[in-house]
Amino acid sequence: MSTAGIQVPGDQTHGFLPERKADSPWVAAGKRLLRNRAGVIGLAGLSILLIAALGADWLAPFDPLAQHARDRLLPPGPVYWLGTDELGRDLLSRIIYGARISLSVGLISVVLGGAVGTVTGVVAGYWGKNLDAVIMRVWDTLLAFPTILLGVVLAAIMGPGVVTAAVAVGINNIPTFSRLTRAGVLAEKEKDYVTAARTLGASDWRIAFRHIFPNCIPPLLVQLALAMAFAALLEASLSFLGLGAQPPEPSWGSMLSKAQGFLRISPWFGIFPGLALAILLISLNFLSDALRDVLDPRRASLD
Amino acid sequence: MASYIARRLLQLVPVLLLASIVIFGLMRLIPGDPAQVLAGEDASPERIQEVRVRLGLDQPLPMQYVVWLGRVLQGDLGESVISGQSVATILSQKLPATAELAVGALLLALVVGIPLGVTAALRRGSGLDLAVTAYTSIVLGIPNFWLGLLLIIVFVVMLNWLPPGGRVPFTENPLEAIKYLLMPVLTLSIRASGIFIRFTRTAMLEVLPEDYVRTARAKGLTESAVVLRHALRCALIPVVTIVGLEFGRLLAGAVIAEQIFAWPGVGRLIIQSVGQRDYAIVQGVLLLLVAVFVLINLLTDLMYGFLDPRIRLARGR
Repeated sequence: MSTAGIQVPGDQTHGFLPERKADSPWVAAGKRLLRNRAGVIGLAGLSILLIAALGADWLAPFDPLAQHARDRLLPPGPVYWLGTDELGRDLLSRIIYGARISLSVGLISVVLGGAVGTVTGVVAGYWGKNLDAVIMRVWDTLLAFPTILLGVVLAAIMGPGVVTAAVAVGINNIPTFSRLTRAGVLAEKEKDYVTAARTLGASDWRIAFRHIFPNCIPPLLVQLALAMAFAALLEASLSFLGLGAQPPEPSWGSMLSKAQGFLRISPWFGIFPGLALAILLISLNFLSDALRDVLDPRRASLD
Repeated sequence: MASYIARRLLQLVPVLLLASIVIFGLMRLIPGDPAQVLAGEDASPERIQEVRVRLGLDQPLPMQYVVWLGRVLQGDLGESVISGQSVATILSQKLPATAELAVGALLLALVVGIPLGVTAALRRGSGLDLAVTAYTSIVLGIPNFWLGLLLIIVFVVMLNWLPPGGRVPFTENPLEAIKYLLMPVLTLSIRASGIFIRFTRTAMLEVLPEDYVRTARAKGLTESAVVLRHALRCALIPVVTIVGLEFGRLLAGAVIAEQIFAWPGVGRLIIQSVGQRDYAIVQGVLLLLVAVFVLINLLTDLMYGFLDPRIRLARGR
């Protein structure tokens, strides 16, 4: 791909430097992602939902909270494309606005879990010893709490709501990010470049976060997509149980929970919000598979 | 092996202690004064203080924790504020239903997952392999509560084959019991089946090119003996870990399935209790499930050591 080291007439680099800068590993990985079928499908699905979330104000045909008393539980039709719910609200509009809740809970919880997880992971992996043992035991304990139950208890403490759901999922994301980062740091810290940095007088802090950590990022990216999917699923589950988003907020989970009472009269009410959620989850799963293939070519050969 | 088990059991102690502190702390964080609740809405401050002393709530927190832990270790989980029954009794009544669901889902997922994973690996790249891989990708993206609703739409609303919810114990009428069990078990197991397929397939693909598999073939063993006795046995080692993890998740995931299908287990109990602010029960369910979760993880690790002596020996050093 690169033309490194090829002599070209008029070349001022005397053959030592590449004529054109080769792609950085990240750009190269990005290009591989766009050539990966699963990656493209995942990115496409995610983009559609992202556009829906960001452009909801322009895209939604109706106000998601507007009730049309005469048009309750309508089937899909020319006015309400996906039908209406039990209060006569437009399902399509509510699903479009629902993307906001799913994606923002996913984002908040991943940022929370990722930030705490990676920092503690680097600390545990680099400084090790007792600190490592303590941090890992704490995460072991946290992992012993089934996520959904943690959400249930947090809902009892903080009151049900979107923020509660985001915090519950975020806390649950911490151990995985922490363990992955720690494993990466342990593998990296024996390498020569670390010794080199130390010889040059770099501080521990600098070595850990500026030199080692960037090399631990690829598996974390794969986990990021998985954690987003997990977060969206959990938010919907909690909302389905009545512990997440509260009415009249248009969360996909709470819509499905409502739909459960009307399956005989209007099955589509129970189908469309779940379909939106499934599209989000499948897109994120595809994306994480593709990221794994792209960032770790050795593994790709097995799938 | 005995010293390995003992060591692993010892490692459990800090995790369980920490978990008990977390649960105790979480319960204390829930807004509202239990003494006030027990004494009643219009109780005088003196009366509330009396109840507080009786419950030991006037003691410092660490002291309260020690007393509480002592009771929990003796199996005393307190009483339900609503029914007045002991929490331990309520749990022992509800747990069998949840266990039935989780075990059923695990078995179904294993019966579907492992053969499909093995076959897909053996015929890598074939149409069957593609279909199986597509199945896993899709299944892992289907929210289980949505699947539950879809099953109701198909089997209850459209076909009218199955009851929409409830439970008949196996001991009363096995045939009816299965009818009630079918949809909740399917709802719960489908994700796990996808995960088992994925792990079995990857593990088999890693094992099949190994020398000992070639040796087994060269010895003239039948293909089924090569696959089942030699390859699969080694491939199953990583799968065992996942099975343990998934079983824990199935127990927790039962919350959702129980809610949809009115299944009278601990999952439905905890949701109901949160709604009724019956926190002794919430705490009891949490303690129970966390303990079971941790125990399953231990059993998984032990199985792992049993299947692969290298692990046991390496950790022994």
